[in-house]
Amino acid sequence: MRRLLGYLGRRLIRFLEHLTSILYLCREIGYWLVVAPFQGKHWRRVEVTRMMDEVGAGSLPLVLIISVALGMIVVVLTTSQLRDLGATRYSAGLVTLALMRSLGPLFTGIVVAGRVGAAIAARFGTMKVSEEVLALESMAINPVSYLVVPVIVALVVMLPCLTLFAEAGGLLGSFVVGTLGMGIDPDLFRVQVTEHLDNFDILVGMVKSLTYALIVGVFCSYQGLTVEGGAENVGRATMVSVVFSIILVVVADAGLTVAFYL
Amino acid sequence: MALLEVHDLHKAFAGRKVLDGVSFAAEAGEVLAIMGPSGTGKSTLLKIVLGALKPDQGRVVLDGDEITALSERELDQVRVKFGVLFQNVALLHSLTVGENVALPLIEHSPLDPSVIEIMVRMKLSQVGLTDFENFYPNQLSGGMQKRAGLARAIARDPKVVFFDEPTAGLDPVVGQAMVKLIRDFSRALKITAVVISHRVDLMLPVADRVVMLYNGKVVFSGLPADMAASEDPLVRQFVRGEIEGPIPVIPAPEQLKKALLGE
Ligand SMILES: Nc1ncnc2c1ncn2[C@@H]1O[C@H](COP(=O)(O)OP(=O)(O)O)[C@@H](O)[C@H]1O
Ligand SMILES: [Mg+2]
Repeated sequence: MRRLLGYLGRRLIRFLEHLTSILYLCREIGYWLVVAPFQGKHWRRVEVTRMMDEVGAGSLPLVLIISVALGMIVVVLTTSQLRDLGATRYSAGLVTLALMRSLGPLFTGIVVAGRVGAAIAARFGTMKVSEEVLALESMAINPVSYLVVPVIVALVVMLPCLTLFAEAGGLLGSFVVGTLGMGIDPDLFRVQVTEHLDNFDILVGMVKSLTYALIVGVFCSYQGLTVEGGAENVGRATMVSVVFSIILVVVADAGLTVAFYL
Repeated sequence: MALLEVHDLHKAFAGRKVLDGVSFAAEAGEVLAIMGPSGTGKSTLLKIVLGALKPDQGRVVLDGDEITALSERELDQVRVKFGVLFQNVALLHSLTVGENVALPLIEHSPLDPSVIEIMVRMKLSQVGLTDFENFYPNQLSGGMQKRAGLARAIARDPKVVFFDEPTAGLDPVVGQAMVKLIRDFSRALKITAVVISHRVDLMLPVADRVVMLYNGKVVFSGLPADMAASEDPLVRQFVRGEIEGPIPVIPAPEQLKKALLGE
C-alpha cells in the first residue's frame, strides 16, 4: 500500500512537472506567435511556408484516401441498418451529420497527429540530441520562435483546410457507394445532403480542427525538444508523441462533440 | 581583467557532482585548452559558460558580462560575443552550408542580402570551403563539416570561440590540420579560442595555456611545457596515456552501466 502510494505520488509529480513545462512552452509560443511580431520580431516566412507545404500538401493525399473510404464505410453501415426500417432515404442526411460534426474533423486530426506529429517529434528530437537546438540558442536564435512557431502556424492554417477536404471527400465517397452500391437515388442524396449541411456544424468543425492543431503542435514539439541522450530516445519520444496526441485528439473530440451537441 | 573568468563552478546531476569548484580564466587572444578524460564535465562546463545550463553555484564573466546572472533575453545580447563549434558540429541539416553560415547574420543584423552573401563567401573561404556554399552538411566529410561549423561560429566576428572536441571523429592528418587552423585563426583574427579536448598530443603543441580537469576539479593549470613535464601522477598519466596510475582505466560500475545501457 505504502509502495503503491509512493509510486502514484511519483507519477503525479512527474505529470505535474510535464504539465508546468508544457504550460511554459505554451506561454513562449504565445509570446513568439502573438506578441513578438508587434515588437518587430516577425515569423520566419521561409520556415512557415516550408511547414505549410509539408503539413498541407504533404497530408492531403492521405486525408483524401482516408476520408473517401470513411464516407463509403459510413454510408454502407447506416444504409444497411436503415433498410430494415424502410428508411434508407434518411441515410444521406445521417452520413452528412456524422461527417460534418465529428468524423471529418476527428479523422483529419488523427491523420495529422500521426503523420505530422511524428515528423515534428522526430525532427526536433534529432535536432536536440545532435546539439542543433543548443547551437540555435548559442546564436541567440530562440528555438521556439525558429522551430515551433512555424509548425504551429502551419498546423493552425492547414488543419481546418484539410478538414474541409476530408468532409468533401467523405461526402464524395458516400455518394458514390450510396448511389451505385446501395441504390439510393442520386437526386434524393443531393437533397438530403444540402438539407443537413449546416453552417454551424462547419464552424464547429473548424473550432475542433484548430483545437487539434494546437494539441498536436504543442505536444509533439514538447516531446521532441525535451529529448535527452541519444537516438533511441528520439524514437521513444516519437512514439509517445503519436500515441498521446491521437489519444488527446480523440478525447478532445468527445469533449467538444458533447459540449456542442448534447 | 581576463576576457573569460570562471569562478568556483559547481554542478550536480541527480545528486552526482559533475563540476566541483572549477575556476580558471582565459586572456584575450590566447588559445586555452581545457583538457581531461571523458566524462569529467567538460561539455557541462561549456553549456554553463554558454548560458544554456545554470550552475548550482559559481559565476561566469565574459568580457564584463556576468553570464550566470543574466535573463534569457539579456543573454541573447551577450551571445554575439562568442561563437561555438559543437562536438557534433550541429549545422542545421535542412539548410545548405551557405545558409547555415548566413543564419546568425540574417537573424541579427539588418544587412542587405547581397552583403550577407559576400560575408558568407568570405567566411567560407577563410576556412577553405570556397566552393561548398550550396552543399548540404551531410554531403561533406567530417573535417569539412567542422570547417563549416567554424565558419558559422565566426560569422558574427566573436571575441571568443569555444570548441568542443574539435578533433573528435577526424583522422590524424585532418585532426592535426584542424588544431593548426584553430591556432592560426586565433592569431590572425585575435580571437580567443577555448578548446575542449582530451587529445594531449594534438593540443599541447598549439595551446598557449592548459587547464586540466579531473572528477570535476582543476588538477593542473599552466603552460603546455609545464604540463608535459609535470610530476603530478594524475597529469603524468593523462599526458602519457598510461594505463597504470590514479585514473582508473576500468570504468567505475556506474560508468560501465551507462556505457552498456547507453543511458
Ligand atoms: N543533462 C544531464 N543529466 C544528467 N547527467 C548529465 C547531463 N549532462 C551530463 N551529464 C553527466 O555528467 C558527466 C559529465 O558529462 P560531460 O560534461 O559530457 O563530460 P565530458 O564532456 O568531459 O566527456 C557525465 O557522466 C554525464 O553522464
Ligand atoms: Mg564532451
